[in-house]
Amino acid sequence: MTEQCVHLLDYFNRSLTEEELLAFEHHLEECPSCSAELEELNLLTEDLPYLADEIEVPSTLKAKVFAAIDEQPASVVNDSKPFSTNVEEFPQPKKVIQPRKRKGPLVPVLAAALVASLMTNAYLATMDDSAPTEVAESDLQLIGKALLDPQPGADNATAVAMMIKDNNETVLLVDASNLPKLKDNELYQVWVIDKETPQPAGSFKPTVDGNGSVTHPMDQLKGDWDTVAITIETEPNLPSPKGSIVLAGNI
Amino acid sequence: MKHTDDGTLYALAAAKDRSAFELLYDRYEKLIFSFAYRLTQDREIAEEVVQDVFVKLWNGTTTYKEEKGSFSSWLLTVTRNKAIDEIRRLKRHDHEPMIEKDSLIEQPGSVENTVEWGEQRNSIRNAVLELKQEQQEIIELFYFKGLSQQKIADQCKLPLGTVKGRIRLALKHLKGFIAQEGGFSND
Ligand SMILES: [Zn+2]
Repeated sequence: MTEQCVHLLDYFNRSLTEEELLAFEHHLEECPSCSAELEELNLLTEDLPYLADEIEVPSTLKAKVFAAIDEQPASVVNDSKPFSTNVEEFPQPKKVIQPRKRKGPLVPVLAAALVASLMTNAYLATMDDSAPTEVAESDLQLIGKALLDPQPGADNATAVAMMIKDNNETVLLVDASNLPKLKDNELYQVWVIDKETPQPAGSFKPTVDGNGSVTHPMDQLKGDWDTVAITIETEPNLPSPKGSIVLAGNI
Repeated sequence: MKHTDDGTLYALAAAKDRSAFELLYDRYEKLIFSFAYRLTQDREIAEEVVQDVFVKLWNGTTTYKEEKGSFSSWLLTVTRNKAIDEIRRLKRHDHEPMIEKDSLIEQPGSVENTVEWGEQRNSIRNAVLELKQEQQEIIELFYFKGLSQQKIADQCKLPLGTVKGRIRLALKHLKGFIAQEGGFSND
């Protein structure tokens, strides 16, 4: 317990002067009891926001927020500059991506590695669906991606489909969360669809949390498909879907 | 409010994927606005808080890291920080202590109960009701009003040195009651 320790609550409640704040932040790094107490405070208060009553959101708020975003000066990643001059400024350190709290080794290692390296990559900031995107620090290229929309009955489900080129191999990676529970004999099947014609593109069983992902080699997928869908099936890789669509989107 | 995929959406949004950002926005707009309103008691300021939180998320001024806990907890903390900065900036609490009015639980019946976090709220609310009055009050002053330690001591007529202990005790009791209420935990 030092003189500084008494500032903990005021630090939490942001009522320290700038000078006090700097001193306390420094203190926090070397005082295990303050950092433990701070962590405890965060933990003990984490439920409190949910005491708030639901308030009708002003209908104009979203437009305001998005207008404010559009007014922001151009992103730190600027097309006209080489990537290397910008990478330092980009606010996403590599660690950030690991927020994928998956229990157990259910995400294929390749998929996890691809997702991690792609999503953390600053250069994706310039990503534009029309143009292949170079990815720094590796030979991975993100060729296209899409967020799939949940279909009725799977309202909370989310999924991302990405076409990724790694050296000579290109894969379709689909990563889904909040999937509805399956019966024992069921699985999730990914499809790519060229107009009306579907072809299977990998299947997976979700985790108990309803997460799952799968990669599929692109060279096995024929035609000019532009839609990715996920259905519930009882057998993998059928010639065409029999079950119901859970998620779908255009890539 | 279970959304295991927040991390992925956040990572995409951080890489300036607008559709991912918009999904995150839609997912959290109501909670963040409602919480900001709970803290500031002012719709206009609450709107500014929401705007600030999401603009900073988009432009990378604030960044989420897994070590900080769940994305939702982090976002709520960022929201609270901005809200209490705003309250302080406007010095609202100087002239509106209003302890009577600002009970930890708001007047019932003012808002419809058809909410995404209604279940959580009910269990936390029930847990709050099990706290002693002065414990409810100190949580209100500390967490929702964001008062300084000295101001809490003044308002609760406590010696300065005992404030932290009282707050921790009240929060620990609350956490215990919440656990009994049927185990809402947010990730
Ligand atoms: Zn200390």
